[in-house]
Amino acid sequence: MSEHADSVMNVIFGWDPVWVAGTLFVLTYAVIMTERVNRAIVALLGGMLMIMSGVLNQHAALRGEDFNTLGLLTGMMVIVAITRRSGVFQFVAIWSAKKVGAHPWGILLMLSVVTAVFSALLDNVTTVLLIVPVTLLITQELKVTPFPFLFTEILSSNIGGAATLIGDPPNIMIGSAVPFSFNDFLFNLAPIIPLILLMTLAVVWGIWGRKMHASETARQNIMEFNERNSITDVRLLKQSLFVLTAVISGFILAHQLHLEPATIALFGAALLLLLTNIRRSSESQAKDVHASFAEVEWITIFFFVGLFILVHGVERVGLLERLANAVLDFTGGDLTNTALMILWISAIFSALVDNIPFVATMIPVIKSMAPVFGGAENLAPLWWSLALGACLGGNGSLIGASANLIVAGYAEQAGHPIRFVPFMLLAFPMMLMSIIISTIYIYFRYLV
Amino acid sequence: MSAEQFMSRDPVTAPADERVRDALVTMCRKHIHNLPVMDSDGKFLGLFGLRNLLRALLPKAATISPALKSLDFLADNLEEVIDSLQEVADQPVMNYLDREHLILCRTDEPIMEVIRKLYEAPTSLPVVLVESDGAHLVGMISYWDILAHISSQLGDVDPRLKSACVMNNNEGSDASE
Repeated sequence: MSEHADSVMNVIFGWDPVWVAGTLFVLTYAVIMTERVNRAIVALLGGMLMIMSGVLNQHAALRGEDFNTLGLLTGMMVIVAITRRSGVFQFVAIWSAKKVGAHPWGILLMLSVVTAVFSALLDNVTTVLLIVPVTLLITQELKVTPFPFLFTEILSSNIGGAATLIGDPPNIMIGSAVPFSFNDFLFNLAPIIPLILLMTLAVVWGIWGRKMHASETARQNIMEFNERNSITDVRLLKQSLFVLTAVISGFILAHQLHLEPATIALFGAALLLLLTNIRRSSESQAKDVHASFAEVEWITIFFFVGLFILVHGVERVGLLERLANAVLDFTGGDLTNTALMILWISAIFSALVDNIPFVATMIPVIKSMAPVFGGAENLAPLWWSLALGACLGGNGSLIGASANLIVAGYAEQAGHPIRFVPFMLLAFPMMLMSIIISTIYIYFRYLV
Repeated sequence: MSAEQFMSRDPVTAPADERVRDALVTMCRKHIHNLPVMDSDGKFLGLFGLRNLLRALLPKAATISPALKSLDFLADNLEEVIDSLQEVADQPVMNYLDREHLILCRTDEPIMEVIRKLYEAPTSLPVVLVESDGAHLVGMISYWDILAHISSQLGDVDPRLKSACVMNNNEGSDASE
């Protein structure tokens, strides 16, 4: 707690800071879980109360902010907001549907793989926003029920998102807190992802795939789609693909370039804004830049802002260290036990509640375990367990990840609502299957 | 000068269970874009408009939000649109009311507010009396009603415009549009 020497805690009414911080933290998380009030409002209120009650001063609170996570999220959101206007994602979806002769099972397979790949490179929510409308169009044309398609896309988005540093918020947070590079994530997490996706698709084949059928005329309708017409702006397409490629190459080379991911993402966002706005009138620039910034999911960003302060508050009063010690007592300070416990608890928690606050809390907890395991460099299995557990756990229920809710919202509007219980009855066991695969992977790769 | 004075009274209406097919016949014959729909007690439920029909002809992916921005990539499939129309035609109008874009008008609203609402609304304005048991439709206001009313006050300033607008509105006097 060296960084806190500059400020003495002046908690209101002379109350015990541990109790004040702990109560604020638990209350905020409880209200977030009820989902009665928007999570950004709750987290921001909780964070500010942490300051106003005197647990942190504003200066200390700002040190709790993980600006790398905030910058990376914002930058990628701006880049994707601009890129999607070119129609490229629609192009890929339709192109892949035609590649398999518009056969329903083939389309499900292709769209799931496309969803997983996009989710690995972009935000999951963005990915499903791009894929689901095309899916609904195709299933309506084929006259098949969209549920198996949407169900598999939800699972694929969370599975694909687990593969990279930028794929899913838990990974972004872990990548910011620990000096792991984009490539570290790729080498350690991505290898197991294809197997998990394959097994998931095998189950989907067993449940729906083998019975899928569409009439010849319906398939012909899809084959007559002209995907080239979905590219609305070729210039914009070239500009955004250039920037997107540059940014992803930047992530891969970040370590050698001595750059943090947020710098690369925000640079990419600024560059793409420049390319798309140069030589336009100042009025039209203002309009365009405003529209691009407006597509940033500010709810997520402000949720993070509040959360980081809350977690920093409980960390500072020493609560998270106590939690870490409790975990270690339970696992007997054994690395294998601790890693597998983190994997399973993360998965179950993330299925039932938002995985973002859970991961935000677990990061300092795991960090403080370093001395027990002989230094920070030995914690890798714990970090990969947290990442896989939190990302894949999101598949356990409809509320497990934001992308799930987005898909459900779409399905509801289209007149094919996805219900909580039927979804969970199928998705939870499949999530457990992915965690069993992860357990074997982590055990044999890191723990024997 | 309030809404009550320039609305069209006794507009043509349709019962909630009327089929789209029959509603369209009425609308085509009387040149109405928006048909007020009433429940069995004569309470106003909403408007069935040609815009709602267009919505029903589109694939769902184009009308949910956020929707597909363009359907340019679809093949030229008139048969599909015809099939959709056939399917929709046998449904009751009740299934296609657009509550999201419905803007209502009170009888005592001033002319400037009525013009503002007409500018904002994609349909004509239903004029209703809201009572505890529901909304009673008393009239409809269309662009033409407003124009006819204003130009009828022109006096001798522009007799040509005056007679054209007023006559146009009277021709479709039992229509709301």
